[in-house]
Amino acid sequence: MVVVTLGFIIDAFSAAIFAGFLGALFGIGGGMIIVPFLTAFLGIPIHEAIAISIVSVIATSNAGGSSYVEQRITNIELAMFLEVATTAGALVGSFIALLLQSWELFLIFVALLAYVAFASFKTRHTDETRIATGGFVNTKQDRLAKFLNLTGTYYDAKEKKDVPYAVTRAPEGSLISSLAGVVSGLLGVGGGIIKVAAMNIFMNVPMKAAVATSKFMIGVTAATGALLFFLAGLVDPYVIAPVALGTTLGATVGTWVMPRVKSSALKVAFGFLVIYLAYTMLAQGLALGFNVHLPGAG
Amino acid sequence: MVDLNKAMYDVLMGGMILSSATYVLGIALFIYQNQNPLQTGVLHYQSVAEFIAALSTLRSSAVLTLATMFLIATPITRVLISIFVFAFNHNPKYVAVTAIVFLILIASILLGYFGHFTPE
Repeated sequence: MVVVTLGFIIDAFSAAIFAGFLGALFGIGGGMIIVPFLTAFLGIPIHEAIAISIVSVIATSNAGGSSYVEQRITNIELAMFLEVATTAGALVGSFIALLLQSWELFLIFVALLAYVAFASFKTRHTDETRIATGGFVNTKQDRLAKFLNLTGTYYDAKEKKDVPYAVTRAPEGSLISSLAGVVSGLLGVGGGIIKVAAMNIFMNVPMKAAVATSKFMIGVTAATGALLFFLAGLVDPYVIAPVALGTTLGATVGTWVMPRVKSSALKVAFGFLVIYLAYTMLAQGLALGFNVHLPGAG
Repeated sequence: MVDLNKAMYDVLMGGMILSSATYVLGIALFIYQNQNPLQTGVLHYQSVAEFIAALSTLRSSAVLTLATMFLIATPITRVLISIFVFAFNHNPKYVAVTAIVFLILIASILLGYFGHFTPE
């Protein structure tokens, strides 16, 4: 039960702008920002907050996705290929949920995030070096990537040049993306981070193309969950309205900023965001599994 | 050849404008209809007929619910449209890839709905 006033609508709208902006900058849904805000500041029950968050992911994917498609940074074929893995992962996730305790899932996810953060910091300059030397296109493609003709080019507004690239390790990237489907289906957050990491760290996709492609994909990954929550009556229309409008506005601004930022700065900021998510997931895992409470994490 | 970028942009942009405009209309109706703070939480329509009745009298909750429907339909429509674009452009590999995505989506929705599975 929520008391809706004009002030409430303005608060939710403002917080959502911030979440939408960060979501567009990093190719993520922004659930990790929206959910704590809705529960802690607006007093919305957790299951309703997750429902609102998943529906708002679609709003930010429509806004961010359309803008990146218009700027031709998105690799639509790559998105379609990886969507097979993420949608299948989300489907499998509902069965995995029956086998594993949620604290085990949280801790497995933390290990994966720790690696992503480490790799983001370690490879922070790799993008600029490869853009300068044309390294993104000089790579040996695996057979699947070659069969599906997975290549792309985007215009980098910061480096002021076209960046062609050839996708590789398609099977491995697909496997990691299916994990993104599993975790986002089960834990409600974190799918976008895994997708961006899979493309940039494993599949030789430049960071900006990975962000844009992930942004395009997350709407489809979220669609199933969003529809089920909606049909279950958990999406409060008075909460989703300002949140969807706010994330739409924030994402639109974010898609203008992202192409103009240095790739290395983007990757370092992404690494910090991953550490923050890993910490909150670790806190939740330890609290659920061992009743240990870490400081500063709800 | 149909430009895939243009087609995807049109679908996403169309969905964004349609849902955003409907949300704005719903919020305007809410402000107009409710001078006092509103207690929400009991807004689940029991039937399609009830929803349509509320919509026809421009009840803000029904208008906002319609906006959410437009929103959720957008990515599903985007996948469906891309199957046709790939088919039109004689790209059978991606017709297959996209059709698989669409089938998994529909299967997940049906399984979730009839299995009474609410994602956490």
